[in-house]
Amino acid sequence: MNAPLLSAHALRIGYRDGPDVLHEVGFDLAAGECLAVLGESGSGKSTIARALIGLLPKGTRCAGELRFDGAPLDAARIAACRGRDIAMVFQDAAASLHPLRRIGAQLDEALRRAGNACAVVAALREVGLDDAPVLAARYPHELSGGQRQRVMIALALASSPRLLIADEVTAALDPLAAAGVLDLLDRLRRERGLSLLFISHDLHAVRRIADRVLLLRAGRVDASADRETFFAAAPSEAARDLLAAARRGEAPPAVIGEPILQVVALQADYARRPALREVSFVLPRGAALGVVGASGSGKSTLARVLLALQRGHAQTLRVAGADPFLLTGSARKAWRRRVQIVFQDPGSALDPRFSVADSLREPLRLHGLGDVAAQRATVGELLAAVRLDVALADRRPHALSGGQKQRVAIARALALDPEVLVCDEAVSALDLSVQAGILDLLRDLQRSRGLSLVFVSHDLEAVRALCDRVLVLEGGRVVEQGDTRSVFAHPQHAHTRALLAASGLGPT
Amino acid sequence: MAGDRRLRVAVGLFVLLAAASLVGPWLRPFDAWHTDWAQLQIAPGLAHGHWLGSDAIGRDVFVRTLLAGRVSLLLGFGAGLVALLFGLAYGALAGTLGGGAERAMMRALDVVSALPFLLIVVLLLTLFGRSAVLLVLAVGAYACIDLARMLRAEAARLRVLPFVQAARALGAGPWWLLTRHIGPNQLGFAFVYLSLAVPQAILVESFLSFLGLGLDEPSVSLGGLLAEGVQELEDAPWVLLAPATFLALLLIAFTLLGDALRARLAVRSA
Repeated sequence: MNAPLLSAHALRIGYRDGPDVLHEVGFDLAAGECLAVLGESGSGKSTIARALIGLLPKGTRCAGELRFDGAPLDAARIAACRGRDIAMVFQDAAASLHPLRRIGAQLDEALRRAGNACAVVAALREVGLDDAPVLAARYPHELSGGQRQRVMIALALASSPRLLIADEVTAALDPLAAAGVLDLLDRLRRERGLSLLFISHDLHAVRRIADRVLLLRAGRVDASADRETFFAAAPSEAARDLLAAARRGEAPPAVIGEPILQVVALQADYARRPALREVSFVLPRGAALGVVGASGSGKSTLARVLLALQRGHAQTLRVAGADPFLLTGSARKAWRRRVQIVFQDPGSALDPRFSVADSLREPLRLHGLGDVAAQRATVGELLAAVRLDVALADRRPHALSGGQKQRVAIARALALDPEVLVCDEAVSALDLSVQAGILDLLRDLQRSRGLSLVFVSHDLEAVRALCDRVLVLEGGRVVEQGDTRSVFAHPQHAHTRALLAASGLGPT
Repeated sequence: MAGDRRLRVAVGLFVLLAAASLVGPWLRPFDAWHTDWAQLQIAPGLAHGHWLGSDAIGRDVFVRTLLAGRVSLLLGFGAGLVALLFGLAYGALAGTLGGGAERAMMRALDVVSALPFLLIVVLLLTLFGRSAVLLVLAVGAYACIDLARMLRAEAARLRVLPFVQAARALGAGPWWLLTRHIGPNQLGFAFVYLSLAVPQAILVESFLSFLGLGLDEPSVSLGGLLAEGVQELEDAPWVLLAPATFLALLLIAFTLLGDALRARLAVRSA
């Protein structure tokens, strides 16, 4: 084998005053190869990327050896290579593009710097943006997330790099857009002989694109194997756990019963544009409905309308026995006890000034339930119900992990003993192993409390594991609905098939 | 950390100035209105006891400057607090309510801020006499317009966050959201702004006093001293320089304080 393009040996990095975040990490990346660095949050993945392009903060301790193209990669060489031989694409394309300049102008600047003027249209075409002349005249906010990420890739390619570092590039995209970006990266690797360092926590993306997989765990290399071995044989315990967490099991059988949600011809706007058109469905009590679709399909708007957090108009709307938009004052407040919601972002799910106990007591105080002693007892019960230690009651959100915060948010939603729980992407921002725990919890709560669930998600695997029926939205319309097993096994609509294929779940 | 050092410097400078204005006047045997006939317009020096000199009618500049600083600080803080209370209440309420109520409240604010503020203050002060209370209220009202705008924007940002939405879903009304979630979470932001509103209030008050619209004699604020100093600029520049330096230091202290607090807040919310 030829000498690798990039190699790291005994890399040890620690941030100022903190413990080391990387311990003796080593890897090789050959020309034209794709190495995936896989790991959960805090495992040190992004630190590797930052070290490679010299973006570590001042005062960082760094030992070990990096070699690029046969020579040591020190600070001076990194500065010379960055944006030339080594390019990088980040997760958040919206924040990486200049918001006030047209796409074409930004790309032109990058191409000129690389001595390659007048190739904007060709560069956009290469990243699969066929409508290049139109897109070049647009501003970043006028593009979809997937298009922006493609523009970022075109910018990174402007200098004809030999190594492309992709740091969680698909994490913010829905599965359809993510699949497109992955296919693009794979094609570029073949056509340009590009080496790809693909940093991700997304097992599915890694399976789709990587030649070899490096599993990081708490800053150490836990396993290193080629893709087939990794996914077939799970070379370490952590890899086995990860693969097990990703296998979420089959859909539960369809529940039959009296309807708790009845929606006929629901319309709603988002940002003054129609977001839901003629949406109709029925959910039996105790059932779980998965709502799936690409970004902008109206999933979250549907969740907000069911909670009456946003206005909607329907021919018939019965949510837990009432049409919330016909209720006012105390009747509306009483109705709210029956329907609750959990949001996506654990970081802002809880008031930063409230302790866990304060957050859990809030619903009780709002409805004047019990005295302080009774409320404290309820807090204990709620924490136990979401499998959290009672000792966490006095902590504030910043001292909790993402998964713990999300459990507290679920406990708060359960405090009023609701009949319907709406989860708006409630597990999407969490690590895979944490997701598995929360999905387990939701399934148990559904059974033990007779909860009816509306589970809004772009994660089809999670939907299959939890929901007995599914609703597919596209552009605010229902394109397909039915029980999960039959929809996943025999998708009727092209959009459903595309979503399933992008998630690697297509009918075989 | 660089931000901590800045905060220490700012707080140090501020405490020094505040302490000087509180305690300083008692260090000297003169009171602010005592006329030293033997030493009219004497230059600064230690030998004759007038450390910063005396003015045309023999009053001690050191004592007068510090006393005026005390008055300016009190008026500035008073006006700043008025601005904080009204601005926080108005802005947070508008931002919490949202929708049509929010738009109406902000348009009303636009109308008020379009009025020629100084003209109205001058009018009020001439109509109702020049009292400290009126001055504090007028300057506070002026500073509160900007504060209300900023807190409205901050409240609108908080309003769409999941924990506020979750509280709405739990049955919380606007009052609950305002008093338990949005208001408390704005306090840090409001205090940063207070450190910018107080110097603004001091400056506006000095300006009014400089024009002779401030407090009646014998009370005197820094602006009044500046006006006196300008009269004697050619013969006794120290009469102007002392209060001008004090005012400048005071404003610098507040600016540094605001900067440092803002850096602290940014770190905490990140």
